[in-house]
Amino acid sequence: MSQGFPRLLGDIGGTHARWAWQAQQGAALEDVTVVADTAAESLYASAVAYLERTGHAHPQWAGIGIATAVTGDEVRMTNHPWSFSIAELKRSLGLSRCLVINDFTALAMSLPALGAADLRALGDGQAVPDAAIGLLGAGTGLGVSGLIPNGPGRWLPLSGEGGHVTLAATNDREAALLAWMRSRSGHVSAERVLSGSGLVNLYQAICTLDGVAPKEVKPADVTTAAQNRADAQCVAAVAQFTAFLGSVAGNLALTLGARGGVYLGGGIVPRLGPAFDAALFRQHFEAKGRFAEYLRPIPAWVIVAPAPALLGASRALDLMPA
Amino acid sequence: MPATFDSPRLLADIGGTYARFTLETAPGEFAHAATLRCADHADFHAAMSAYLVTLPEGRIHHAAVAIANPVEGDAVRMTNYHWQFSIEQMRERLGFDTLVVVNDFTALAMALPRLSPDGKRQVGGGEAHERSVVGLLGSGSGLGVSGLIPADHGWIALGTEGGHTSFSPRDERELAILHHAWKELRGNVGVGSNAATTPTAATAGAPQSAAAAPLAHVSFERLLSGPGLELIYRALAERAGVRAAAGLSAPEITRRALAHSDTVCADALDAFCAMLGTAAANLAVTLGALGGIYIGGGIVPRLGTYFDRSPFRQRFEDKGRFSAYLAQIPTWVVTAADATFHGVSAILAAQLRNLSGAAASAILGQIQRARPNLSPAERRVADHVLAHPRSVLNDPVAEIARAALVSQPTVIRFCRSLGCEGLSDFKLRLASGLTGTVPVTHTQVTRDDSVLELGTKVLGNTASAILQVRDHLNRDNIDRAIALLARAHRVDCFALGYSSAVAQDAQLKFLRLGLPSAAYADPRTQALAAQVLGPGDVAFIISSTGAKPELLAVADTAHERGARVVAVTASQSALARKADATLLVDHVEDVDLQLPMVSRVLHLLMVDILAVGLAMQRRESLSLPAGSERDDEQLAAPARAHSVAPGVSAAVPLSELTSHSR
Repeated sequence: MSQGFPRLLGDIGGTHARWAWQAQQGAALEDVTVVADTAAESLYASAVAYLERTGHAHPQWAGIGIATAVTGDEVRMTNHPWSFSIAELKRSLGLSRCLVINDFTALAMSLPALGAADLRALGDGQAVPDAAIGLLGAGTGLGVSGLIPNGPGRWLPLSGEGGHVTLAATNDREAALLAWMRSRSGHVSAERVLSGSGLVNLYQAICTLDGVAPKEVKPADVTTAAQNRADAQCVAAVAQFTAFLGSVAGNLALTLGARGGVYLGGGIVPRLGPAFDAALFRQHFEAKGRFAEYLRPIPAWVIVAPAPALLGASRALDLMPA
Repeated sequence: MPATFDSPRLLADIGGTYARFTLETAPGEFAHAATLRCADHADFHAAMSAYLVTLPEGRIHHAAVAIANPVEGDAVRMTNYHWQFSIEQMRERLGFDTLVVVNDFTALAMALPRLSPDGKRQVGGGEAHERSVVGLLGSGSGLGVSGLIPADHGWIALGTEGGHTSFSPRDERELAILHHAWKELRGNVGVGSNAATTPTAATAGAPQSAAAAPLAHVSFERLLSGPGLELIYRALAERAGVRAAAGLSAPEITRRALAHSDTVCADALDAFCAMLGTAAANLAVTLGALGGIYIGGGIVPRLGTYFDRSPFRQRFEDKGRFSAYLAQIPTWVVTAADATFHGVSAILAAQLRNLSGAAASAILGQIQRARPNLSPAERRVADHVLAHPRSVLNDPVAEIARAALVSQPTVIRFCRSLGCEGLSDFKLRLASGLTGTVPVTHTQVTRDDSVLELGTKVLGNTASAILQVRDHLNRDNIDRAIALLARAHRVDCFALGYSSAVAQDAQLKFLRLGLPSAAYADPRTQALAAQVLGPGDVAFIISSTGAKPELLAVADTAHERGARVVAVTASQSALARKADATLLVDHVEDVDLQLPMVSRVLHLLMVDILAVGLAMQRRESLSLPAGSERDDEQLAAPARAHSVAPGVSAAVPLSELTSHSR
């Protein structure tokens, strides 16, 4: 169960790579380091640079979460020059095992190990022990995953692409937003609104419906203007983002039977901090007719821990068969 | 595996209208099939008995029932029918050794990996990945959704309510259906109905109503079911400007659509299939169902090849840039009539044999699975353990033997049959398997205990007490205590007797967190120290009973001086009532020994919780006092120099503070 130490752990995102070292079972992660992907020409080079800089050598196992679908030995990141063979990486780093999984799957694996300080609760609810868990992360895209209980203390992670579910409308306003977005880009997935670029989409759609000329904005401009209440359409975009996130999270909880709770990761929600309207989220989370009774006791949390996916990559090495 | 079962297994599939029964004489061999109308029988027992009397002589040991409602716990209540029963009572009344009751949809899901090629028909392209997640949708009186996750050597069936997810319209026709559904529901659904909105720029732009409230919930089930097809028909009749035929039932809509005799019916069935494609694709991407999606239920399998020509598959693949992902996933219609029986049979087999890896490490599950292979005497021990797991933890071997009506060696043989070395080993595994659901109780250390047993018991007692405290942790109390400590200028620790060791431990931790602190164990000094506390200070008091007058006086003095009181003590105690924040530890020590052991450990853990919480709060402004000795193992995590290169940011590892609790 607990073998393969020391370990090199990685969390590879679209813009940054996070590396850490774990010396032994149960040990805390050491030398957690964030580097820009552009600082190295390949994943291998980034890993080697980390090892040299921190003075660590000869990891036994490596566990890497990466922001792309991992379906075979060849791993390719969307819109990103790093692509590699897992077997090749294992050989060149001299590892006895190299596990590469979707970064969201890695994040999911960390969830049962997170404590109260790593989480911020959105409303009430009480997790049912050993029940399925849902995970949503809005950032560059919308990651969706979950954990299915497999006996006490054992979990099976889902590696799906749940960000691409078709977005539902729960009122006339949302139906109008959907219709406008569909007229521009065809299929409107949840990711189309629940991501950085999704925030901008929402802002533009709201401006159009409100008859206001949209400004040229980046995702951070929308959240900042909303936090400062500087722009009515930005405020509305963030509120609508929250409402859609609640609705999509409710759908996920129903689909997985996630009575163990729903976790929100990704870059956007934690960054909104207290500006994230928990009550609005819960309202839309629970607005599923008579299934409000089912959803009300399900807790929802924002993950505020600094490097949960790295911890998850290590847990994945323990829990997933070699 | 034997060619035939020792005794035939009874399988049942109970729907809202019909109860179907069969006997499984050998794996996959069914005989004596019968269908009864539920309405002809007063209750489940009556229907079951009516079937049993038609069978040839011979006892049935094991039975499994698939039933059209959620199954959680022992009480079963049918949603659309008045039958209700206790599974355990029913098992006894019918004289079965085993009676398994599962949701019929879960049973159908379990049948999927075993479906023969002629039991399913593929719609469209795609190829299943071996041992990948499988999804299932069944449209009938409702919309059932399930999934199978490959695990170890078997499968885990997902218990889901996925049919109740919000309907997502994909085109103008479906948007019209959604609007029509809202309109119909507005009449008879309270929630959100009067908050119905015609959004305007003014309301949408105002911060307070920046996101409109949800209207009546229109789930996929609302549309992808028999009643749903009727609703779609009404919506599309309105859209076409045609008067909807009153009371047109789903089977009639289907019949007219297939016969091309009514354009609105044809339109409705077409929309139904397309929307099922959306629901199926949503499930496929959410689960990552590379093993394929199956369509069961009462409606689609009856559509025949019409379904293959319908927009279902095209819609399934129509997910924008994710179309390629979905194109590789196969979709099948389940055509096997007895699929549910195959599934319920598999679930029964998994219960009876040690096949399913699902609950392999849960000792109670293991006992249940091992039970059929035990000798009759050992089986009595198994039944006793399953019925009274909690008391077995406490009882000596003689007591267990007496309760199970067996000899003492049989109890030991039972333990060995489960792969345990003996009773102590078994109890340990039982205890670890019980936490969370069944409370673990205290065991007495007796003079007869061997040294090993003694060690096991002391550790076991402590572990179970810790788990109990964990289950009763109150987050608000912890938050409040940490908040008080985080704001404190200094924290003085007060305790008497054995607890003073805990006060010293707390003092060290507070000092290491840069918080001025002292610890006092002597009542006289305590009184003096309390006198010099001031506003912004915290008196941290540890007491098992919370009733010691000296410590209560400290709390009073602290309050008079404007300081706050944080206590680690028993609930309902005088100290707990006085304190501004209390971490509750209710542990009754062994009165014969009068040695506080377990409670001291619990108190130390409470201090740890506070120290970790405090450390997390103060992480940013934290500075360890210069020159402090690194003689404390727990806190002496290596303070690594973080070489920070340009473009590199180094996070502070939590290890410096929490290495012992991670």
